[in-house]
Amino acid sequence: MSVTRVAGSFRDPSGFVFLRNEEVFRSIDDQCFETLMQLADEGNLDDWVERQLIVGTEFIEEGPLLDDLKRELPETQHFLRHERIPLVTYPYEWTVSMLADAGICTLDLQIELLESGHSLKDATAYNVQFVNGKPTMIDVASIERPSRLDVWFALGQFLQMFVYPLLLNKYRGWDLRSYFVSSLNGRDIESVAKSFGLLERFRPGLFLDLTLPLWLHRMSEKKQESKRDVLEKKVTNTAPQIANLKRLRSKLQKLAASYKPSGVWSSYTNICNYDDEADSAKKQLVRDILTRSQPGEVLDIGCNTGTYSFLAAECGANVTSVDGDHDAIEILYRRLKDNPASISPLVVDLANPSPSIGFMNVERPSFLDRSQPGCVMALALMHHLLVSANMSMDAIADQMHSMTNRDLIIEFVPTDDSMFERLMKFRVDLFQGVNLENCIKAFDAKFELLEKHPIPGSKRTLLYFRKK
Amino acid sequence: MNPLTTLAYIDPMSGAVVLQLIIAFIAGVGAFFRHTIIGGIKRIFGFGRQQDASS
Repeated sequence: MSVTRVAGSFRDPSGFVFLRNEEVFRSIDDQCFETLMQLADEGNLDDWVERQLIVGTEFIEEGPLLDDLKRELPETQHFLRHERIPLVTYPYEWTVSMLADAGICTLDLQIELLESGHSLKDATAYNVQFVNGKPTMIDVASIERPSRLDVWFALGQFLQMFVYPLLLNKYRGWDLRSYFVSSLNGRDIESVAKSFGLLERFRPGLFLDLTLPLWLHRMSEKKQESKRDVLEKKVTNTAPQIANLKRLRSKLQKLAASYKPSGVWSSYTNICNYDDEADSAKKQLVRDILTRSQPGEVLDIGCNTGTYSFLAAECGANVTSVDGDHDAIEILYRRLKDNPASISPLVVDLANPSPSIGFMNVERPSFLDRSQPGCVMALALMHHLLVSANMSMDAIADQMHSMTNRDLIIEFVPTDDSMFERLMKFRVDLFQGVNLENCIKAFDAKFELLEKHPIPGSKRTLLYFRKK
Repeated sequence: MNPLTTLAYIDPMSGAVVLQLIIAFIAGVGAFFRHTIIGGIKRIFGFGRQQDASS
């Protein structure tokens, strides 16, 4: 049986994550094992798993599986098995509310840990993943039993990963992709402070978490002496830290609530040209195909606010919903919080999807490497790729071929459709050759056309392909 | 069990740690002198005397 170490799991000296036979395992050292065992004995671990604060986790304590794992990884004594996350996502693919909720999940877990005398030794956003639209902590090896419980040493990292990007978004309009892709682990306090004027740093929202730590940081940088003895002192009073964590929790909630989605495509469902007949006919056609084909994993590209993602989830699929428009995904995420479903919403620009980045360019794999769906749905998307992204029909067919493992559902929008004409308003018409016949021809080399359905009440056609 | 793995591999950002140490110190001082502080406030606003008079 081959064991594949997860490329991003190399920083924590207490263990690492690996894949074996499609299952996720974690190797941990004695100290981490004892810490987690204590939490399990107290009943905390099961409680947190049930409440989805941490990912499903079980100890591999005996039996042939443990013998096999020890034989394959002889340097490790203890193993955990984790619930598999349908699709690993990264903060540069999240929306403002998703990042805020991931931060709140981290804070909630930290507060619970403090009550049992434990703490998180790091607070990176990559330790949080979304399952059915709800954040959950995946790095249980981050739990430790520190000396001081009044101070959280990972607070600085927490500010860099959660608070600063949200402050920069609110006050400077930064998007999360710009913040994280160029600085995978968040920006340092000096560079964040440079984005704000001297007077602006006295703003109540910035002073306590940016300006004051910056001054103290500069002062302590000047003093060269080590203060480790202060940090190693035993203090059991958790009250100051819990008060600070609750303040941060409230701050993140307010930052998320103050964000008002206003992107062009987030209001697309209000301006699109479907009448009721066409809308319900299209939904029925898509539902029929998904129910018959049962693709398992569906990738809904150009998903907008997720109407068809919810439909695919109702048909039993695990859905990854992507759109380049942050605000459309923000609305989808808010819908998902009210109506939980097996949907992972992501901000991904298909003309420039998330690249492979980080250590050795493999630490955080590209979006295309992580997503291997049984079906790709591209409903009313092709004309955007043709016009806005200047992609050719052949290039689109190539891209779809590389994205799907099996099926492809496309909604073809002809050039005389009002939404196509709307896109062409101020552009040179280079699309005379764009018609249904040429579309099918472009896909013919890589796909077999299984079904072709004109959508009643519209000029559009639904095409159902299977990968050759 | 060794409790000192913290700071093993992340940069704790000294400013945030120092700020928390200051907050913890102020909270500690406040907790230590809380009876003195509360008693002083009561004396200033006369709560203690009213209670004494009623008893």
